[in-house]
Formats: sequence, structure tokens, C-alpha cells
Amino acid sequence: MNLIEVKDVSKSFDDLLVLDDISLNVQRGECIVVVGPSGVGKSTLLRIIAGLDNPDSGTVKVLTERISMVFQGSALLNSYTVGENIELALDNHKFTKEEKEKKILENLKLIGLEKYINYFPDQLSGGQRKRVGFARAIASKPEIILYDEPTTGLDPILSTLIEDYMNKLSREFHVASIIVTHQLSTIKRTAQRVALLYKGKIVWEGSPQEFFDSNNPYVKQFVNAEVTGPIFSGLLE
Amino acid sequence: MSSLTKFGNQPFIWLIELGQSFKIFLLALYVIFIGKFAKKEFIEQASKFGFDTLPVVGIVSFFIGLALTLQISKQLMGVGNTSALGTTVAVSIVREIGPVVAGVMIAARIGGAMAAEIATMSVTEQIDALIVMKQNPIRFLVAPRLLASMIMTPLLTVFAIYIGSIGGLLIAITYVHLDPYMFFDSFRLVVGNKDIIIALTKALVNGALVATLSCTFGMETGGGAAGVGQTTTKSVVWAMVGIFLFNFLITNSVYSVAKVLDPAFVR
Ligand SMILES: Nc1ncnc2c1ncn2[C@@H]1O[C@H](COP(=O)(O)OP(=O)(O)OP(=O)(O)O)[C@@H](O)[C@H]1O
Ligand SMILES: [Mg+2]
Repeated sequence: MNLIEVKDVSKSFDDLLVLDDISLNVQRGECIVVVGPSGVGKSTLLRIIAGLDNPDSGTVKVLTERISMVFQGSALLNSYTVGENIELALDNHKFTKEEKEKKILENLKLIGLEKYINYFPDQLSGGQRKRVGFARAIASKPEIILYDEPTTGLDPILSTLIEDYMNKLSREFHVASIIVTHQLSTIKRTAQRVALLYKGKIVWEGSPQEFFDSNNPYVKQFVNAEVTGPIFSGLLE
Repeated sequence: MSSLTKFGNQPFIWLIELGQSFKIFLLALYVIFIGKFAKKEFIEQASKFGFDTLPVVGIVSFFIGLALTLQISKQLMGVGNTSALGTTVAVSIVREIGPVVAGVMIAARIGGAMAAEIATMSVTEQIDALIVMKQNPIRFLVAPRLLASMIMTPLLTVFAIYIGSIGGLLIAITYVHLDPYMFFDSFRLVVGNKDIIIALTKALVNGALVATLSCTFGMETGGGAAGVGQTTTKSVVWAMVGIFLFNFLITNSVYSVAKVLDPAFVR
């Protein structure tokens, strides 16, 4: 069953066409990784699915209220402690105070930050903030999670921990996930499908195995991190 | 993120912005009336409000009280009638100076900080995070700030009136050599309930203006740190213009209404 149905979505910012007729479905329990060069519109796509931006044309259907998002810049509320930030995600879920406290601690333990429960976001490192953002997004047991670069800035061990947990969520708890990432390790460990976004279009879509073996010039350039190829990122002088 | 930014280059953008501000004001007011605003946030905002503004409002009111009384007493001494000093100073401070000084200082001190805070939350996607977590920003951010502002601004206005009057008293004693009892007697004589109501109405409007504009502009902010700076300036300027405009409108309408209802009121 599809939990997310994106159909013919286009989005421009002023004269800049960012998404050009994109369609994408995600089923319950499915994990799709979206990759693409920086500035191509990956975050914009997630924001549109989350209902934070409106598409200029096309439709987005999200078939559950229980959706959450890991923001690229963590987006923790600055005037709230780590614990309170997670509590915010639980507020609308009719948990008792004890249940909430238990859940907050559980989720902080998961990411190894239980000692930081009373810290403010300003007092954390970038990677620690990212992990709190992750804990906050999964705390309410949503049915859809949109991850915007969940492992960026984390050490390899923490990356693996987060990747394994995202896997667990989609396989055991049947969460529909879209993961935006630049990390090939995340694709390897979590993806059931990979989509490559370039110039507003999904230029390639397939399994992770196909992704790493592909002869498609876009995919090959991306996988091998080559400077020359159809994807233009900048000029080396 | 906002629908407003799309209209950025149109000449009547300010009309749209005013409409948006008014809409947010009404929504927040509704949320306050049904009691569904973040209480903890309200208490924090209200106490911050008091601590941050009490000193500046006090200092500025005191100096304005000094300058105003000095100026008026010079005029009155010229015509040899210093007995009217108390009444003139009283009416000016209670009806005009107190509300405006408190309002302007609050716009600068609180409005600026509030706009910067909410604008920062907006550009760092904190407000988006709230929305995704089904926390309504009006309940969570705007309503507590609006209520805090509408309660604290009248209190600070009363404080400004007291401190301004003390400044006036000092000049009356030292410069004009008036009997302090006589000075305050004329206060009691001339300042009635109506004056208090005028002052508090103005204060209520000022409080609503500052919080509403700061929150609305803050939430509409895009464009990173530069956007935060622009929003802060814009909120303070708009709030101040609004304060002076409404100050005049309220004074004016009070006199027109009073002329009809109670001719004795228009001294
Ligand atoms: N609010 C906005 N106003 C104007 N332009 C925007 C806005 N948001 C995004 N853009 C533009 O849309 C394009 C896509 O941005 P987006 O953040 O979606 O990229 P991304 O694929 O997530 O990049 P990255 O991998 O660097 O995070 C960029 O060129 C950006 O300048
Ligand atoms: Mg991005």
C-alpha cells in the first residue's frame, strides 16, 4: 500500500525550476534513498512531501497523519532542552507523563546521548544535534519518516548505528522512509530502491545493486565520484 | 517559505502584510480566549518582558519627565502662572508621554528581540519542525507572546507614568520651587478614570502591535542571517509607526466622543 504518492510535481523558486514533473511512490515498509548533486532539490522534495512547501503543480498524497522528518540542519528548538525537544514530538500522542519520560530516555539512550537530556542545542556539537534530531523524529513512532541527510557529520560507527536503526524501522515497524543522503554507505545498508535526481528529474531509478553496477553515465559518475561526466558540479582550474 | 515573499516586488506589499498581521492577531486572540496556548512559554515571555524592559522604561520616562516639566514650567513662569504646572504635566504624562514612551521602548527592546528570535527560528526551520510535530505555531509561539505583551505593556505604562511624574516632581521642587503636595494635588484633581482608561487602551494597543508585528514578520522571514536583520529592523520601525499612529487616533477619537457625551471632559 502506498503511503506517499507524489504525482507530476513541479516547483520553481523565482526563475529557478527546481523540480520538474517528479513522480514518486513509497509503500508501507519501503525505504527509498534519493541521491543527487548538491542544490538539485532533494530537501525541497522532502519539504513538499511534509507539507511545508506547496508544489506549483502536481499532487502530493500522504496517507497518514503520522509523519515526521529529520531536518538537514537538525532544526532543534533553541530555547528547549534536548529532552524537551523530544517531548514536543510526543505531545500530541496522549502519552502519560511517565510514558513520555520513559520514551525520551529510551530514545536518547539509543543515540548515546542520555547524559545530555538537560543540555540546550547550543551546547551540543553538530553531530550530537543531528542525533537528537533523529531521536526526535523517531520518538513518536511515525508511519512515514523523511530523513534529510541523517548521517552527515557523524563518525562511521555512529553512521552505521543510525543506518541499522533506519533499517529496523522500515523492516520491523513497516515505516515508509525516504532517505536523502550523499553517503554511499547509507545506500548500501538501507536502500530498497535508489533514485537519482538531476536537473529537476529523476534520471535513474533502481535497486542498490543495480545502482552500484550501473552503466548509466549519471549513476557511474556519482558512484565513482568523478569530476568529469554529465553531472556538472563546478570547474577545476 | 511564505506566501508573502512571492509578492515581494509588488507596490502594495504592505497592504498584504498588514492583512496577514491582522489575521495572525485574530487567530492568536482566539487561541488565547479558548485557553489553548502554551502556558509555560507565556510565563517565560512575561517574566522576560518585565526584566528586560523595566530599567530602560524607567530611565527614559524619568528623563522625559524632567525635560517636559522643565519646558512647561519655563512657559508657565513666562506668563506667571506656575500653579497650572501640575495639571499640565499630569495630563501630558498620563495621556500621552507614558503610553508612548513605554510603547516605543518596548518596541525597541522586546519587539526587536522577539522578531529576531522568531526570524531565526524561521530560517533554521525550527518553525517547520514544530509544524511537522503538529505543534501549531500560533498556539505555541504567537499567542503566548501576544498575551504576555498585552499584559506587561499596560503594567509598564503605569510604571512609566509614575517614574515620569517623579521626574516632573523633581523639577517642580528644585526649579519652580513648588510645594510637592500642591504638585501632586493637581494630579489627583485632574487625572480621572477616563485618563487611566485612555492610557491603558493605548498600552493594550501598543502591546498588541509590538507582539503581532514581530511574530508575523518573524515567521515570514527567509534568506538566512541577512533576513533576520531585515526583519528585526522592519518590525521595530513598523511597530513604532503604529504606536504613534494609534496614539493619535485614540487621542483624537476620545476627544470627538467626549465632545458629544461629556463636554466637561474636554478641558
Ligand atoms: N526558500 C527558497 N527560496 C529560494 N530558493 C530556494 C529556496 N529553497 C531552496 N531554494 C533553491 O532550490 C534549490 C534546491 O535546494 P535544496 O535545498 O532542495 O537542494 P538539495 O538538493 O537539498 O541540496 P543539498 O544536497 O546541498 O542539501 C537550490 O538551488 C536553492 O537555491
Ligand atoms: Mg538538502
